[in-house]
Amino acid sequence: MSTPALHTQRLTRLYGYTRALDGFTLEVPRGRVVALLGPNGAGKTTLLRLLAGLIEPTEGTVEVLGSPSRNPPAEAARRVAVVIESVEPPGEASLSQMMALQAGACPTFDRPACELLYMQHTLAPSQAYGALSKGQKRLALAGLALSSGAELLLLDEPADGLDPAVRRTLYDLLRDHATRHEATILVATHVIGDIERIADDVAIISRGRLILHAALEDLREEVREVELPGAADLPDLGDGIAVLGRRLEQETLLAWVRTTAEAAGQLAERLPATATVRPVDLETLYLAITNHPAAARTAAKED
Amino acid sequence: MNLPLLRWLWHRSTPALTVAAAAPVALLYVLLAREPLAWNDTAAFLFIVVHCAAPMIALMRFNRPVAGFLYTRGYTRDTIWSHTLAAWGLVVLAVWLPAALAVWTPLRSLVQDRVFENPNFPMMQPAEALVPLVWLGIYVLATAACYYNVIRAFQPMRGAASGWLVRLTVLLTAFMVLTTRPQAGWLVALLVAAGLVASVVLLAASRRLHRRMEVRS
Repeated sequence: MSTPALHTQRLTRLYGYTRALDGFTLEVPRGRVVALLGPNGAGKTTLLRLLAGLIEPTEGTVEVLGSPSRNPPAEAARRVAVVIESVEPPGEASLSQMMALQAGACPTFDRPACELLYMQHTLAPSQAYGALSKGQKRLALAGLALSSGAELLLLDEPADGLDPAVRRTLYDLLRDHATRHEATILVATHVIGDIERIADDVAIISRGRLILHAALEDLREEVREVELPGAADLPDLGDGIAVLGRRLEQETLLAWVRTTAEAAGQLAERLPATATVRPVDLETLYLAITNHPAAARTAAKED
Repeated sequence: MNLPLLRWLWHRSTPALTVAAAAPVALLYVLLAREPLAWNDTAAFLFIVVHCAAPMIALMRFNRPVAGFLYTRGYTRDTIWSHTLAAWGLVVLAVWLPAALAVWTPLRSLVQDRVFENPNFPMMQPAEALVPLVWLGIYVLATAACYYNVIRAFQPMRGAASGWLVRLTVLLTAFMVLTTRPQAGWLVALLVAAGLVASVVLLAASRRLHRRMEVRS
């Protein structure tokens, strides 16, 4: 069995007295596209920085492609491509210089492909990075990552600032890269639509902890929203059913539960007749389990 | 040697600007100084320390986004460490070598003799031959001390104040050497040997610490 693409074990990172990550454990098999979701300040960027080896964990371990993320050997370092918010080249650097730097590290870097991508989006190699718009900067960095032939891409809001058409193109390219290179992609984003377009799995992080990591397909099949009018709490649902979140809204209890295939029938049996059980979309689930008040409003609106 | 990486480090404005600013100053100083050059010349010493410290600290601000960019391109930490030193070596050479050549060739001697009619020249030219090598030694020590300090300041859970003991030691040693101006041959030899050992130790330590250094952009 091959080593996982990413493996963090009880990862904790402190900034002063602030716990940016708190015992975060995640394992991502090779070849998966994982969307990392979480509210602002949840620890997404800290996690990506730790995975990229820029900072050191206070506690716990991080392994990337089977090597420690801090000071990996050359053959491992060059197989990881990183686009993290606020990690940018100097403004005076030209796209050509950026490509040369990337090619110097990665023998697999496909410069013609990168230039073609830039050309398709009216970026000239002679342009200075600082002169680009926010969206163009994102595209320039994503182009380097996509052309590097990397086996692991760590991306933080890669489509931030892109118009919808370019955004779609970029995510299509990412999906294509994952398929062609059997690459693993961890992408942090706030845009649920993007996730549903490209991701195999979703990992939700809140207050520095991993609170859900599952395949999107499984979530669609296994997660349900339960509405219980007049109830203050859920009855005992038995083994095999996990309560992901709950909220009391105007004397109606809303709960989000995950069942195993075996326990699916048990859910209806354990709930009172007044209960309504329905599928839940990713956005509502995300808002619910990160304890966001908008979750209940979203659910109510759908009714 | 990875040329794209070396070019990238060189092209970041600091090294090129440093050479542009410091090289003419060093050359003019060597050509115009009326007194015979001495290894413990305070002005040269201060020039070297400032030339090493200021731009290197500017070059290696590891809390800038540009540092994060470089450190996430796929180069190993050791490769970046050695190439930063190599880029810095080029900066030093570009400033030191013209000044050293002016001393070693008859250029300084000719300028002093013919232009300024300095009676010390050309007689003093052979006596000055070792001075550029001492300056190079001070360059090596100052570079190693700066590099070590900057890297140490970005160790996990450490702040910019980290490494104060090394800084204090270097400053006190420099102060002592400049104020006492030792002339005894054995003491000078001891200082040179100590400087070499300190440089090697600081560089080796900086390489080790660089592997754990944090880039907090």
